[in-house]
Amino acid sequence: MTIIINALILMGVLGLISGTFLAFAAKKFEVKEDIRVAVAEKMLPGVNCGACGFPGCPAFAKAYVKGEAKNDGCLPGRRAGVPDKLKKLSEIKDDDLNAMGEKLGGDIQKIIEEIMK
Amino acid sequence: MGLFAIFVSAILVNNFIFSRFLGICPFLGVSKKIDSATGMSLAVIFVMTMAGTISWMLNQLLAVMGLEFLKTIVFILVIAVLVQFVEFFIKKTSPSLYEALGIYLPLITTNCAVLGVALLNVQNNYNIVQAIVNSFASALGFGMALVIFAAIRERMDNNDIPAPFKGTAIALITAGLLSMAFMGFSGLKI
Ligand code: SF4
Repeated sequence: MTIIINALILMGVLGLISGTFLAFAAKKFEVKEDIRVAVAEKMLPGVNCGACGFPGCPAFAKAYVKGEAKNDGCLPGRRAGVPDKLKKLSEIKDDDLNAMGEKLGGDIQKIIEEIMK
Repeated sequence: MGLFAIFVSAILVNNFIFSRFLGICPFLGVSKKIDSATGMSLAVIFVMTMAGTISWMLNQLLAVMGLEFLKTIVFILVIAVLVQFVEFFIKKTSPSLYEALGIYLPLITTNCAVLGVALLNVQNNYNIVQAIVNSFASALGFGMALVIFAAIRERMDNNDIPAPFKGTAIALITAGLLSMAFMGFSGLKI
């Protein structure tokens, strides 16, 4: 019994420490990403399955924004309406997107809702 | 074993790639250009040394608590955290290196060489100094192998290689030859 409790405590504490450490590190080393890429990435299912032929969703998002990938490239997202969302994203001009980002305080989720309206 | 003996044997005699055959994935994946190979080596050196040290300390803690069976999972956790940290760091300081390393950077997490060094430190009952030296030297050996191999591959690009051997085929043959060359070190008595 004590072994189980010990194990639980140990893993819990370790997880907590590493989580906090990473959270701080993420804040400290934050990189401003291209807002279009960030929005495109958020539109994807995020399962990182690689079915699109890119190493994970972030890579696909980047490739899409660069014009190297088609909007229906993501297989799992096809039925969930991802191609539609991505297409709408491409139709927005840079200035409008930036303005939108500023207005909504950089909240990606809200930006997506705004785009889909 | 003396520290020097550990150092030399980790780099040359028991080189992770050429004689233990661990960490082959990044060895083949990131060795097309010498720049990215160097970047990868530095990242691995950092992660391996830190992981070796921290996991050694955690192992003491595990031994006290009687939880040695959690070794593997705890070590993997440490490695994953370190890799994530390195990723943040490289992304911030050198976006071009970040691009060049691509998917192989997060894959350091699953690089068995890193877990291997952590487990070997424990298995050989090293003390803290020996563990640090061993981790660092193993990582150095890994990096050296990667850079040597990348240099050879860069030169191979300029050569006229018969079509069936182009690409991965000749790379694997080269790796095999290099590995055989490193077998020469196994007779080294320190
Ligand atoms: S196919 Fe879609 S879900 Fe899978 S990795 Fe690519 S973008 Fe992500």
